[in-house]
Amino acid sequence: MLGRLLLLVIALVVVAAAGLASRFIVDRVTGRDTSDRPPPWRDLNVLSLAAQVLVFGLIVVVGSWLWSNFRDRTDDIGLELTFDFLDQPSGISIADNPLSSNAGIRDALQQGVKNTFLIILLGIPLSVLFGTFIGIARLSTNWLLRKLATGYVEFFRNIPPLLVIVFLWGAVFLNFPIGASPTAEAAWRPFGGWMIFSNNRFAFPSIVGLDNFAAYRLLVVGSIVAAAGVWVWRTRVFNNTGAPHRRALWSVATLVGLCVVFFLVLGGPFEFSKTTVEDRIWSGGFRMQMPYVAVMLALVIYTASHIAEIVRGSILAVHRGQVEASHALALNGLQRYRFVILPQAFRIAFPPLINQFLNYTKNSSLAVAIGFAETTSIISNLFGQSQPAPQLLLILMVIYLAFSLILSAIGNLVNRRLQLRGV
Amino acid sequence: MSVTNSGSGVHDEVSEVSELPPSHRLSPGDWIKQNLFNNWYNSLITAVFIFAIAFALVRTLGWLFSSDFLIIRRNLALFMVGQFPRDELWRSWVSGYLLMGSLGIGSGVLWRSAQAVAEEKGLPTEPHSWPDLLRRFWAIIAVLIFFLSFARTVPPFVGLATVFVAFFISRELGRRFNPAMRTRGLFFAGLLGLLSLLVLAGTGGLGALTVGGLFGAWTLVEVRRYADERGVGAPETIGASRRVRRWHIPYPFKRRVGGILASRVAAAVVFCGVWYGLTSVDLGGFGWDDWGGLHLTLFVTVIGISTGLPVGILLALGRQSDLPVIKSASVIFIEFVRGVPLISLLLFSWLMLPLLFPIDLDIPGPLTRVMIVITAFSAAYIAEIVRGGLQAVPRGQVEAAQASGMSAGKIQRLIVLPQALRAVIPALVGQFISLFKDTSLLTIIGLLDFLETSAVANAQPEFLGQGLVAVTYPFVALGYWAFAYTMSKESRRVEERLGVGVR
Amino acid sequence: MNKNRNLLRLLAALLAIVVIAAACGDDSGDAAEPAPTTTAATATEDTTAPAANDMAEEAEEEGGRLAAVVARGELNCGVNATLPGFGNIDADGNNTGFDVDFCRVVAAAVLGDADAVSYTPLDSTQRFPTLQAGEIDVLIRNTTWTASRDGNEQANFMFTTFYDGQGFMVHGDSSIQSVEDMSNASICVLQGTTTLLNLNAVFGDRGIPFTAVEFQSNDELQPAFVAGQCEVWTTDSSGLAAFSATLGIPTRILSDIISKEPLGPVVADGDTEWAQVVNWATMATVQAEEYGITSSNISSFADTEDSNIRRFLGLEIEGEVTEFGLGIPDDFASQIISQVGNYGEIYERNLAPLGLERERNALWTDGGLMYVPPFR
Repeated sequence: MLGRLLLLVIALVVVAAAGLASRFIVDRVTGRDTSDRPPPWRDLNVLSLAAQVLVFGLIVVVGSWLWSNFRDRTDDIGLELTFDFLDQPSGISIADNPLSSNAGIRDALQQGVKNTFLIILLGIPLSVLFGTFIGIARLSTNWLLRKLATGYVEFFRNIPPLLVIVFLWGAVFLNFPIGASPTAEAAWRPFGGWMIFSNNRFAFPSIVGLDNFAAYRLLVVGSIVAAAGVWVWRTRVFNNTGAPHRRALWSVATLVGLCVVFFLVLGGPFEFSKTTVEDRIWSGGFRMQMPYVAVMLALVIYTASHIAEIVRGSILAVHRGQVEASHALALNGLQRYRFVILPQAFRIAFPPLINQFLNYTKNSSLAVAIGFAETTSIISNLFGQSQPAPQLLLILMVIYLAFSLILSAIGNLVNRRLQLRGV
Repeated sequence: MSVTNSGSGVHDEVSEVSELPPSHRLSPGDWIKQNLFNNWYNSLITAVFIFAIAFALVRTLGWLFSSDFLIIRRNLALFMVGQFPRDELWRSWVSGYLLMGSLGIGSGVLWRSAQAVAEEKGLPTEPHSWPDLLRRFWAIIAVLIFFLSFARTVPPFVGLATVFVAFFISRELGRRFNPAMRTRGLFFAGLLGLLSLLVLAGTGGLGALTVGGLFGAWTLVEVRRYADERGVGAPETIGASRRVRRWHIPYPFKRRVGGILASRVAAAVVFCGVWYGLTSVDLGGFGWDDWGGLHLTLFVTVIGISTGLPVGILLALGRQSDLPVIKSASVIFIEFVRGVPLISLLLFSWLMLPLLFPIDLDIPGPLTRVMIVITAFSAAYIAEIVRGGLQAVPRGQVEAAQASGMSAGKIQRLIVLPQALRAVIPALVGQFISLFKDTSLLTIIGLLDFLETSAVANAQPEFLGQGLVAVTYPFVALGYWAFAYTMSKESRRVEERLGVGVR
Repeated sequence: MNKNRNLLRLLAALLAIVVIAAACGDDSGDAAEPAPTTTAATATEDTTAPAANDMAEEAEEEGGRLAAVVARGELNCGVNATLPGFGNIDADGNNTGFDVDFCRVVAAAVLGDADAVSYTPLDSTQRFPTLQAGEIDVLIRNTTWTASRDGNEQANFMFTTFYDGQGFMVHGDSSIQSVEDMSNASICVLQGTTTLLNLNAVFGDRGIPFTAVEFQSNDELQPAFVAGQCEVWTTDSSGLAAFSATLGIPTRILSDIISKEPLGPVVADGDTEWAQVVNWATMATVQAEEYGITSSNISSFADTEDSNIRRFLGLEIEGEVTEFGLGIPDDFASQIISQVGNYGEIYERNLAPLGLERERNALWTDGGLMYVPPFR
């Protein structure tokens, strides 16, 4: 290190001397008048140049020092810095995933990324929904509701998300009825067995298409187009005559009506699938691993407490005149929120919401604590098999950086569309 | 003057004089009608929630009375200090006293000087009252007492009581500090805080270095002040040479150089003296690898923020810089650290940092490496906070400073940073809270922090497999909550006082 | 225009720095290889302020890990913190257990003080990276000796302190009687263990599908099994027995044993001297049991006539102490026995209360596998 620093100093002196000398020579050759120019140590151009060169030099020196230490150590323990290991069998078997433990590490990582994505996919909309409700409840005229919402926010904002996850998993969901048995006979099956709750898996009904499902799908698309047409028509009627448009009602009714008609015509192109458990095999329906539900719900509960604060702040930030105007127009509470307050509040809330989405994504890595096989968990499993740590860490960080970048890019895009233009 | 303890009296007078609108008190019946049953859906909501609350209350009470808290009683010390050697627990207590003393004096001095400034400007002063302080910190106090209720021996009771007394005394002391001695008072408070660290961790390595550094810095300031007041070095003759004008050498150059040199030499001497003195006495003590429990969680947070702050400020300045190299280096660092989860950084500290040390050096312990990573982590977040503050400083301030001929460094140090930092204090407290919560991730890399103690206690043969996490997790949650909640309340208070967002 | 010129200047200067640094970097690399002493000198110069590290550094230069441990005055030992009987943290914050006692054995042999150990609790995914990085001197954490770990993972396995095999545990009322009944069952298993690899291999070979429920540590696995998130728990049968004895719920350990699991201390490859020290310190406990020397009766052996015992304990034979040349004090065996005890005592203290019989782990004289080379 000392040697490198010395070299840096020498290099800096050489560069500085060369620079000053060349300046001097250029000045002499071109014969410029330099009497009004400050001395080098007071010349901003020179100083900024010097500062940057110094910082850059320091970064290079420290970086090369760390790199040489790293190489020494990796050579010492015989670690190879290649990515060939990605093709080795992973030795990982993921629950409810057909991936064989003999498949490559690359494939296991893909499944991990997919699982991370699943946590985000369901969790973010849920937390926005839940957070908005809590945020509105904090401003409710109902004293009890207001206090409860405040208590919720003050509690969950101030405890670690990891604690919420392990608590929900270990002290709540583990105490659900046992599901790991030949027919999961102990599990709780509300709604006539359409849903199953157990400490092993959760199951919900899903839609399974029959033979003529493709045709039905086409017709559904047609109905959506028709519903959109109805929407446009009602809007036009409203614009021309001033009669109440009720376009949402009209178009939804069209859509539902058409879908039901097609359903009857085609003689039931799909059916609802119910999960059955036989011989320890869960089949049919929409099944979720219990740890998945635990992580996802815990993060929703935690993130919602933050989103509630954002929503509340944004509602309060909507200009008072707007609210007063809506009162003057005799809008009722629901209308006031739906048409006046929430649209404006969300415009204000969106940038901080993106931040919360990013936090949610990063927090999804906490699933490692309860063994849900998402990216971090898979990679930590690979550490345990002594796969090379530096490369795996790099992959881990790059994956999350990619998630963060993509999410914030989408967020910024939406935000740009959302904000008022020309203001 | 008698200002120091007549605070509450002033307050009473004010409230008597002011003409508040007459308060209209509602009868309980009206209140309930207005606030709970004012329309059909509110009535429905109220009914549903009353039912839910009653249900939850019954279940909670049932749980509270049916659960066995033996696991907490037996492991209280483990929860609080982890694996810290039990026959050295006096160190924790002494460091607790010193820390409380430091906090007390610091807060007292700050209160006093704020009071003085307010008086000078004729602004309304904030009265000092102990009940008020109790109300602000009720959560922490209540939770500490709750924790103590599990203790099986007498010393903890005495210890906690004396810790509170230490705070009381030192705050009263701090309040009696002359406002002109504010810096010295704060310095003294900081020194006490460091001493508390020394008692715990011994004099080896960083402890002595920081105390020496603190004394050195103090000497530097004091000697500089003395030199400036006395005008060390003969004043330059008025007719400065052509050379001076040509090279823009400032007029009192010689004088300043005299003061600067003298102060630096003195500071270096003091620093070396203190450092040498401290390292030559062996206080014993335990490197922080022995720390654990709530104690570890708190210290990691405090140290993480205090080391992250200077780095974060530098990064923020770097990001605002016009120089492309410095700017891009800062941006890359900040965005990288903020873009990855803390777990990946902690895994980095566990698996990758050891490989970055020279091969002939012993690898530092896990907590040291974690601290390196936590510093980088909090620095990146603090940098973004500080950047917000920097952007909030009006451009005119900088321009005015430039016009009056200040150097770039001075502009940042004396004009921009004080304003920027003051504006972001609430956000910094927010970052403190979030770091406090994030330290729970240390359990994932196996350090014995507050959350991990719960797992360890549940793995003891005596308590294995009884589902006692349902007891220990709420216990731990309460501990986290009390500190984080109090901090967030305080940050909101500061925010209101600073009037951020109101302007 | 002006701005462009500035940028050009900047780039030129940066380029110059990089070129110079690159050139010098090569130089320093060349210089370092033939004469390592120069780098050591700069390194020590570099860290003049924190003096504590210097000694350890020098020690490492001279005599590898053994000297480093002696200079440090403390043994860094990687252990388990959540396995009853083998490695636990008690309410007083002390590490206890069978494996932990062997850390103490090594410390007693090398430093003469069984308490001079700094424990690093490790979960199964952390242990090998930590050992490779040189952060711990020895890993004693129910780690199975396998060829690929010896080869690929730069680990060096010592004398086996516990012979084990992978077993399965189910709840008392479970219908599962053998491995064949486990089709599609949820099986709890720790990540990064040979257990997991065996499970994949054996079930794969027999064509039995299963759902692995993987955890990083017993903290999470144990409640998951108790609550029934998984039907089966597989790990070393000693661990199963330990948990079965302490869980407090009816459990049944199946008779199927699907692997051999010899557990013992592990050191990093490449330091034979240190490996030998750890190995012989560990084996001394077994030898002591064979001689019938315990921590309570060791003082009575001070004037024994048996020359083998005298040699073993580092006592004088005709005025001469036998030197084994291991680089540790000659009386290391007596230090181990008086401070920690012999193998039988360690076993009785930690594992017998969990109901684990000696069986394979009895002395060879009793029909077990505990057989150590002679101390001479």
